[in-house]
Amino acid sequence: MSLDTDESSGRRWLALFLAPAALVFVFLYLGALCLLFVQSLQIYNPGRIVQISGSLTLQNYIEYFGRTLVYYGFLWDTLRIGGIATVISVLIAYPLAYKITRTQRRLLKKTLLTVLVTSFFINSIVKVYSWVIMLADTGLVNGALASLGYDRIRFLGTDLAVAIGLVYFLFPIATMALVGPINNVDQTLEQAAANLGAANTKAFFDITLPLSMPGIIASTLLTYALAVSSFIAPMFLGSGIAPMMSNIIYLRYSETFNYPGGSALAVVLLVTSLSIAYGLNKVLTKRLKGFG
Amino acid sequence: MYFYRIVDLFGKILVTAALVATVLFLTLPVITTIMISFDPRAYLAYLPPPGFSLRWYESFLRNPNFTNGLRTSLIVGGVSTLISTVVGIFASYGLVRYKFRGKETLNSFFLSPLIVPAVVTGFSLLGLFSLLGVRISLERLLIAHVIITAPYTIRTISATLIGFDRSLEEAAMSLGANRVRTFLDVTIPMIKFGVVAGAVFAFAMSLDDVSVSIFLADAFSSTLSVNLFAYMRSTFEPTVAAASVLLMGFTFGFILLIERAMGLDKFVGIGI
Repeated sequence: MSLDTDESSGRRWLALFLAPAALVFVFLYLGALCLLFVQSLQIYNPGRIVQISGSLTLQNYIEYFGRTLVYYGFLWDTLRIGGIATVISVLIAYPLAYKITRTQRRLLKKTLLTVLVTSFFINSIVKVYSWVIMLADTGLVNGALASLGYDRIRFLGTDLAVAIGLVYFLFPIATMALVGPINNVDQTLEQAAANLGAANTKAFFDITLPLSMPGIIASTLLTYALAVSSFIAPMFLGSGIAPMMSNIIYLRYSETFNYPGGSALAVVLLVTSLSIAYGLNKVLTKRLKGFG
Repeated sequence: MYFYRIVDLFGKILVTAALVATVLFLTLPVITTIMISFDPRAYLAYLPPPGFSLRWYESFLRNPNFTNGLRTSLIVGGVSTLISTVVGIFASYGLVRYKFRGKETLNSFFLSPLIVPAVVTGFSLLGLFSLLGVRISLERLLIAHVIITAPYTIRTISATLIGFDRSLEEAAMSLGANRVRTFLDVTIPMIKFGVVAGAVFAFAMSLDDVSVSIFLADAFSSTLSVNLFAYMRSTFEPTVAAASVLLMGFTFGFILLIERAMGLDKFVGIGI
């Protein structure tokens, strides 16, 4: 520890290094999230955003989740459509991630990497607009259907359109989360199995797939945590008919400016996605223990 | 053995078909948008377009909502990236080079805006700013964008810093350089490519954000993405396509910079 010859001076430096980030995250971010929680327990008082009163109540939660089943429906739709999109994303992410880590052809590797990073960095507005015009009544897909002699299909506003859009948003993230774990699977094991007479396909299913399973689970959970918080894709591809929790929070708030009510919904969404992330964390630490 | 070869052949064909389908799935929508942006027709209609026109680009440039939005986006993105990068360098150095209790907790806390739903982040900051009396939307956007972009700089710079062991820093210090000199002359040059990649990452995410900014922007300062979002709530006419092509220009710039700074394979390896 020659960097820290003097223990107390080392501590002082450490405090200095962490201070800026701690300031931003503890005071502002944690502060904002705590305030959100407190606000969700306040009674709505029209005319102001943040309510200041000493008394706390569960009324907002009761209003949304105690009297009606409508919001359970929104929550269920969020979990369901997000889940479908997550499974599809990981399923198509795996072959791409596998090819990127295993191909010997540099040009192919570079092309696939470029497509992957591009699709990650394309602006969200561009992504959703592109799918709106793909799936619109006079869009590319319906144009192709019409020229083949089929009837037009109304996509926008359906769960299918939202799921396709979500896959487009989530797929690059699922792939990037898989590249590391697949890369870490020892390639000599696969080759050994192949040399011993197993088909490459069999070697893949016997060795690579099981060994990359922790990575698959981690990628799935990360993707799912992000899927349930989707906002832009369901907003436009769902046409307001198939909205998810994020959309409900935004739409209800922009109609009524009821901040405490919105806070209650936001807390529910936050707890949902943090529970998924907590599962992710458990999987990751278990994996480290298992291999360390 | 024949059997194995046939199985492998089928496996190969299946993987190749899946890859081709994936690449088409990823690229076709964007190509459609590029085509629509040059479409002379005033409505969304079947492709291909019957002619070529720059009218939607003109319409984009004539709309002050978009030009002002672009200016705000560049200001907010530039300033918040600068702050996040400095914050990220310091935090990464503390997290990677020191041992202390609660390190893992602090690390996940700094990365938490990646997992917390963006709408929740925006909505909660709206409350905080309202309580603290931060009324100027540009200030609100700047602070919020530091929070949502710092995780990206911290992640990228930490990953780079882990790759270099501390022996170089120790050597400099044993040769008499003090801590500040060592940091500036040894550490910073070692991690500068990671810093550039992290900064590009942060700027890209700032430019992209809608879900947080939509709660904090107002008529005085609003970003391009938020204004496009608002515009799309009433119409999908091809001005949005023209804006999309402009934004794709940014995307390619980001990718070029990241490729030059750290290489795409390394960048993808860090993950999200």
